[in-house]
Amino acid sequence: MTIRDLGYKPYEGDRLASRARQMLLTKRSLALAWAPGLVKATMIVGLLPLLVCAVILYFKVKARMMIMGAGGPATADDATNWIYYGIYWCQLWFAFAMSLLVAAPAVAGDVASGAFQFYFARPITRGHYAAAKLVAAGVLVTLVVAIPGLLLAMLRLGLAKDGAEALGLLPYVLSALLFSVVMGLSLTLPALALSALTRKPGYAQGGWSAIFFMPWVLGEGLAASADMPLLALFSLPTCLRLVGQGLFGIERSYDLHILLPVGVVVAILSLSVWTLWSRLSRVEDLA
Amino acid sequence: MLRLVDLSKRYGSVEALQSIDLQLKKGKVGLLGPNGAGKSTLFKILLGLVAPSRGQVEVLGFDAAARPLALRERVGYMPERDSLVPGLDAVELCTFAGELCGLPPAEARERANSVLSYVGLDDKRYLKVTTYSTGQKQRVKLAQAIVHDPELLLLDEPTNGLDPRGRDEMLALIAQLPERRGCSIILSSHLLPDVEAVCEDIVVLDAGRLRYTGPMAELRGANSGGYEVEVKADPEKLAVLLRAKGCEVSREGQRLGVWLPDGADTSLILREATTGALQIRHLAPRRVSLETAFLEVLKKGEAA
Repeated sequence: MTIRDLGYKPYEGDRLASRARQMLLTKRSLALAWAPGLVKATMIVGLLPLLVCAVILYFKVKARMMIMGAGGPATADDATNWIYYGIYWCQLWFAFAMSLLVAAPAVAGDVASGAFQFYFARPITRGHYAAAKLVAAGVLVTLVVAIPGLLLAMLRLGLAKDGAEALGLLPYVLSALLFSVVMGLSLTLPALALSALTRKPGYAQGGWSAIFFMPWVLGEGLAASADMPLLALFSLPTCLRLVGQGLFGIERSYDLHILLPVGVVVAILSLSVWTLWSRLSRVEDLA
Repeated sequence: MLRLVDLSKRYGSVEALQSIDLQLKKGKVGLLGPNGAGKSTLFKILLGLVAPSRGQVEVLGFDAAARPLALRERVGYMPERDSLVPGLDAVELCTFAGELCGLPPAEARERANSVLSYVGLDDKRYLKVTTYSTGQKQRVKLAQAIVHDPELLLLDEPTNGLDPRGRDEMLALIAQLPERRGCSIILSSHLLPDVEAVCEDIVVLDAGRLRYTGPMAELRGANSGGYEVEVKADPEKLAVLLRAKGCEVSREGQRLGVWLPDGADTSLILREATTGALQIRHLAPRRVSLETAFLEVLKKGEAA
């Protein structure tokens, strides 16, 4: 073989700073996570329920205005509930699907393909790596929830009859944003942590599905049959539902103090961070 | 280039590396050792991925435990296993590798194209790396390891999975790296002919202990301790004369392998040839194959 050397000159310039490297890794992780067709399809299909919720919300607001305009009784503004319904009942499924696609295989996929070794043979710390994976997966999962949630909140704001009502509705925009971020993190971090525990992306996806659905069915079933609402807190989706109901001022499904589901969510997130961090500290085991 | 002082690494009850003192200067170094000798652990320590349990590691003037990131900017690593990022083509992968090591984007891209040409992938550089054959993957692994202009290149089984032609080509690429790009290499391989073809110095590890470090020529010569002798006629006559003087002699066709007794030198051979009226055509230190020398080092280590 003839070696085609195009010439070599030693590199004598400055090296990029650590922060630039973090940005580069995060941007590349986001681009790679976004690349599969299934991820794009999930994001697009995930917008469809928004249309249904928007139509319902629109007619609810208009109907209430018509009744009140015709001198009817002032009814409660339950149209805003549809922001919560849209975020939780519709987008939860798409956000979970997105977390299955981008978060659960994130670390395990890198280990399986050897990309993990590629990254850590370079001046990349586990902090760089964990942040890049969290941001890449977290942004995509959160967007599935946040885009429809914020659009619904903005629609409700746009339908306000005057400035005073619009001002009163502003907290719903913040609630939609906060709830979306909480849901995005809650669906991303545990999936990432599971991903760091195995070398096979399929195992991480299966494990994440089991952890998500089984306590939901069991927790709610036991809570109903034994009349013990506390048992429902075993389920992450139930805790998210209670947090969402608290944020939107809707009557909660279980008569529990709001700090209890908030505490469970915080505990799950903390455990996930600890698992991910301690696993990544054993780079030599994974690489 | 490299200085290890009392380096030890323990995994639970297993001592992967034991009290290694080693100093290497720039050049082409072969790292040899049977499975479980500690070669991979040593590479991980040299990259700053694993902290030693005891001792000091200095690579290119950097303390590997204290400044692993600065070190990895200047070290290239070609791992044994696939280490490619799916979804990228070869130019994107090498550019990404260069940028992660701190090169500005334009510089990284220019160098990516250059190294891909060097490893013979210029016409395939826009194909996704996951579609590459084993040989092409090995080449792109070498390219991503040298794109950032490393001063030291760690190569772990670089010819794994290659056919004989691909293996020869890969070894040619590696052997010319120090001259063409000014980097030093440490080549770990269980294929001794690979090391023999590329390296000048050898480090032998066995069961976590350092068994030999030094020039390969010395290892092959030093372990023999004998001489090759060829005479014009009747080598058996010279063999008898030398044995009578306490030499150990083996017949290898027309040549003799001669091991002198303690205190004797080659003048003894010349004297006995004169005594027997034999004309010596060839007299040189006896060289053994690297394989033989390597096995002898391991055997001595076991005996010790």
